[in-house]
Formats: sequence, structure tokens, C-alpha cells
Amino acid sequence: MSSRDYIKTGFENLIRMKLRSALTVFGIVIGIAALISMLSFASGLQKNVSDQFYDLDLFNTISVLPPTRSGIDSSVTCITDSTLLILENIPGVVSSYPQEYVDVKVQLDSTEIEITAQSLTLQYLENKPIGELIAGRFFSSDSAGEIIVGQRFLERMQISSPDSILSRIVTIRTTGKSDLIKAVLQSEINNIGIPQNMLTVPMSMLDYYLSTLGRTEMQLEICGVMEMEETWLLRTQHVIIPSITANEIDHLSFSNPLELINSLSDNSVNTYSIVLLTTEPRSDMIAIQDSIETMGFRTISFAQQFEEIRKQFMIFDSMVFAVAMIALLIAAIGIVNTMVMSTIERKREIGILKSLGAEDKDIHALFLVEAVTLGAVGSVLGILSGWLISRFISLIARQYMIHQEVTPVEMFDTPILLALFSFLFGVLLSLIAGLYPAARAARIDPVEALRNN
Amino acid sequence: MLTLSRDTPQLQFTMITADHLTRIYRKSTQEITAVDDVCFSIEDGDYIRIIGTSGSGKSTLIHLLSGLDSPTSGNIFTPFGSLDSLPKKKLAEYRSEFIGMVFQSFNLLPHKTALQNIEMGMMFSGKSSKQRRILALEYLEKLGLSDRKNHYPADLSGGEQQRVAIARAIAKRPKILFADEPTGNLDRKNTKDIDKLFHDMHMEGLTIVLVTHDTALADDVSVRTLRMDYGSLNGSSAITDRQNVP
Repeated sequence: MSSRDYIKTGFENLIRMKLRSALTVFGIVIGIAALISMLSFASGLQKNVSDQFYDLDLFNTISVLPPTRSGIDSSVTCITDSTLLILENIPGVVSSYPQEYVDVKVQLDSTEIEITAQSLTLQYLENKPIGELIAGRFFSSDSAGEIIVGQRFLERMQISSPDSILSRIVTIRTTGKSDLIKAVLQSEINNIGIPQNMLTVPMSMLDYYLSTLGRTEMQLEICGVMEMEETWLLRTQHVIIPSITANEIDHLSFSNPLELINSLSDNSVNTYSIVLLTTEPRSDMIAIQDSIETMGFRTISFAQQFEEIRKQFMIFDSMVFAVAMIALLIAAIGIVNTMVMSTIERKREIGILKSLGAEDKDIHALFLVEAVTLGAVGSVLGILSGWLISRFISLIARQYMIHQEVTPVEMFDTPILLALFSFLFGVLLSLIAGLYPAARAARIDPVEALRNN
Repeated sequence: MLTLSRDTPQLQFTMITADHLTRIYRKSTQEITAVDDVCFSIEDGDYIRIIGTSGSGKSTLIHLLSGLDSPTSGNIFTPFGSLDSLPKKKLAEYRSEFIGMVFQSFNLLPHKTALQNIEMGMMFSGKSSKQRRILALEYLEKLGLSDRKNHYPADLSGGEQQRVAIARAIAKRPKILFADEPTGNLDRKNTKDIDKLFHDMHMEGLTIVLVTHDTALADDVSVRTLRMDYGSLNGSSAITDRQNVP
């Protein structure tokens, strides 16, 4: 019996049992459709997250932070300009972008708000997709007396037109290290009870020293307004100050006490809260991170974090798969039931075929072909149904998101590999489900079968 | 296209030898000896009639000889070897190529047309679908069923169904045809027609083993008659009756 004969005869037998075959196929369709739609949802979720990583160029980004208190050694206390040079010389690192966060008071006309400002380089602004410039321009240089503001700044200042704010001067005030030192000294002087007239000269010298720590008040011109990209992965502050200009601000942000002491002892050194390193595509992130960490710094890589996220997704996928498996298991039982019933009903036919010269393996193969055909047809229709269901839900969800004024995202993703996997899985499951009935049919005693006419 | 003729002088050789065949069925504690120590041989060109009452073991003997059933003891020697030692594949080949079978209840597949049923009989004999179609049409014509080729068994008379079954059995050109009560379900006219058909096939060279309880029929056509009683084949070793042997 040729393969063509098996397939032709198998098809004919299934068509002969139209209703039963259709119901069995329907069971498989439900199982595969559930599998496809649920895994498409899981895949869509994963794709949305990874797309954000890609869009933000985070897969080749490493964040470098100063050591924690417990990790401080004598040589490394903070990230300085010299650290940036060392980091940029690590093989695989393309560039470094130092960043600083400063809590500031910003005054425009008579309105003053408290907000966190962020220092960024012009290069970073031009190269990283942190938002869209909706009015004005970027800084003229990293040392310019300029500032870029975001939409939240406008909201808090109750300004509706971005253009109207361009070229306006804002005053920035900070609580700096000098304020801290003054407050501590004043408290000690009061405790000891030193007369104020004896402190005139020392206080003048202190004021001179404190002035070298930087300014706690600065006037900057608004040169641009940006629509900041805000995602759960990256949050850019709504006041951006050029990096060198920001270094002139005396502020109290520090990662560890030694960083503070270090900046007090040598205030000519710029220190940074965080440095973003851009690496070459497909570079060995782990090796780069290892070499940075051996210097004593802490590193955070989004790629590394994404691996963790992927593990969570794998757990989610497994759970989804397990739920879909229940539907598929029921479908498989349907196949077993159909095929076993077929074995009983076709006992005489099997006896006739054996009397005509059919081997056990011919009967076995014939039943397997039927089971696999049910699985294959059910899988194809199931994939189609699952895809249509996911399209339908996606359409409704998108409309709902638009209605809720949320940027619509694609909830489902059905890669071709998922469809292929589902098809093969459906066929394999049908094949396994068909094994018992096929073996049962092959074992039928022809004499017994023919005697039961 | 049966080319061998009974008129052609030929050397006879043994096709199947049954050697002390016994078949015992066990049902709980009860044992039924359907075939009891049967010895006989089928020569090339034989037309053997096995007669006996219902339950005498005729059908069981046919099932044993055709390899559908296995003896409890004894051997069946064939050109393929001893049936009890044949691997399943060889045994299937023996059934598909060496023998043809016709049953009392025709055993046609009800969902297949006359043509398809005949083709089905050759599906396991290694013939291509084209060859199967040509042979099936040829035998339909030979048996006068050309106009019935697309009819399903339910649309055919008993005689027509049996002729389709015979066509299915002989279209693959077996060496021996086993017929188990082929006229048992037919009326007198159809019985006579089938008798004549068997006679003609025998005359054309086909070896036939016919099981029947119709003694009148046997008197008409049999060449060699064996009687079965309670599982024993009387006079099986000594051929009891050789009529019309050339």
C-alpha cells in the first residue's frame, strides 16, 4: 500500500464520517485557537516591552553608578571626568553621557515651582530619543546659560503656548553644600557661644571658600521646549540644564558621604550621579560590565534587566501554554474517542482488509493517517480562528484605548513561528492521540472480525 | 486473462500441504476442537470441494489455510514456507499475492463502488493505481458487471455482489481461490451462475478450494470432494474422489 493510498483512503474514511470528523476537528480548532490567541497575547506583551527597549536604544546602554557605601574602597569614591575617560577607553564602549539630578526651585516671573532638573550633554540630546523638540532649539553648547523645559514644566507654570516661553529668563535656586556648611557652623557657634564680632574675619574667609563650591542661584534662558517621551523604562526630567553649566550649581546630591567629602575637599572636580555608556551593537555587555565593576562602580544594564523580564515572560508563557493545553488535551481525548469508536465500527472492514492482504502496519498507518489528518485540518483552522479572534479583540482594545485617550498598542503578536509551532504541535498531539486506536485496530483478529458479520 | 487451460498438459505440484492441523478454541473452561488432526494437500489445478454440516470446521480450515488464523498444532506448508514461521510481512504477501478469498456474505466494503471494491482487492499486492484500474475494469467486464461498476453494493443483487467479490478475489491473479460458502446466500439461479463461473475459472487453470454444505452443487462441479465431520477430514490423506481429472 503506497503513501498515496494511505492518504486517499484515510481522507475517504474521514469524509464518510462527516459529522463525527467535523466535531472532532472542531475540538482541535478550539484547542489550537486558544493556544494561538493566548500565546499571541503573551508574545504581543513581550514584543511591546522589547520594542520599547529597542526604541529607546537600551539594549546597548549601560548605566554606571558610584559605589555604594559598603562598596567604597580608597581609590574610587565617585564618578568624575577622569572616570569618564577611563570608561570610554574600555573596548566596546562608544561614548559616555554623564548625568546629574538636582532638586531646584525655578522661578519664572513671580511664579516659583520646585522640580528636579537633569543635566545632559548636547550630544546626548541630539542622539538619544528622549522626546520631541516642539519649540525652539537645543542648547548652543554644554556650557551655555540655557535651559530646556518639558510639558510638565509648562503645565505647572500654567503656560499653554510653548513658543511664548522661548527666550524667557528663569532663576534657578538650589540648596547647596555651602548652605549645609553654614548651617552646621552656625549651630556649633551658637552652642559654644563665640561672639559674632570675633567671627568677622573667619566668616569672610569661609564665604570665599564657599563661593568656590558653586552658585546656588543662576539665571538661565529657555532655549527649547520638548515633548518628553515618558515610558515606564525611562523618565526624563522636565527641566534640562547643559552638563557643564550644571557643574557650576552647588547642590547637595551625592551617592555616598565620601563623594560629598571628596567634592568639598576638591571642588574643581566634577562629579556625576550616573553615567550612561553606549556600547557597540552586539558587544559583550557582561564583559564590559565586569570590567567596570572591578573598578568599584556599580552597573545596571537594560539588556541584563531584560533577561530577567524575559524569564518572567517565560513563566507567563508557560502558564498560558498550560491553560491552552487543557483545551488541547480535551481535543486529543476527542480524537481518541473518535478513532476508538471508528475501530469498533469498522471491525469488519479491518477484517476484510486483512483478508485481502493488509498487514498490521497498513491498518496501523491508515488509522494514524486519519488521526493526523484530523489534527492537521483542525490545526490549520485553529490557527486561522485564533488569529481572527486575536485580531477581533485587538480591534476592540485599540478602539477602547483611543476612547480612553491612551496611545493604542498592538496587544497580540502572532509570529509565523508560533503558527508553525502550533500546527506541528496539533499534528503531533493528534498523532499521539491516534497511537492507541491505531494499535487497537491493527490488533483486530480478522477471523473474529469476519465472523461478526 | 486466465491463460492456463485444463486442456494444456502440465505437471502438477503441491501448492499447500496441511500437516496434522488442529485448531482448538478455548472459551472459559470449555474447549472446542474445530479442526482435528487434518492432513491433506492442494495440488496445482485442483478443484477441491469440502463439504460438511454447519459447525463441522470447514470455515476454520479455510481460515487456517489462508493464513487468517493459526493452528493450535500442526503445520501448513506453502511455497512461501511454513505459515506458522512466516513473518507478518510474508504472511500478508501470501494473502495478497498467493490466495484470493470469497465469502458467503460477500464482504464488500459498502461505501465503495463495485469498481473500487475490486481495486481495493489489489491495493496490498503492490500494483499501481493505474494497473488496479485496468484490471478491475477487465474483470468487471469478464464477469458481466461493466454496467454496474459505479454501483454501491447496496444497489446490487446478491448474485451481482458475489460476482464483484469473486472479481475482487481473482483480479489480483492469485494462485488459489478459497471460497467459503459462496452460494450460501444466493437463490438457485444465481447459485447456478456462480457454479458455472467457478467451473470456467477452474477450466482456465485456477486452483479452487470451495467450502459448501450444498451437496447438490458439489455433485455438479467438484473435482475432488473431501468431507468434514466434527473437525476431521474423512479420507483426506487418501483422496476420496477424483472426478474429471485430465
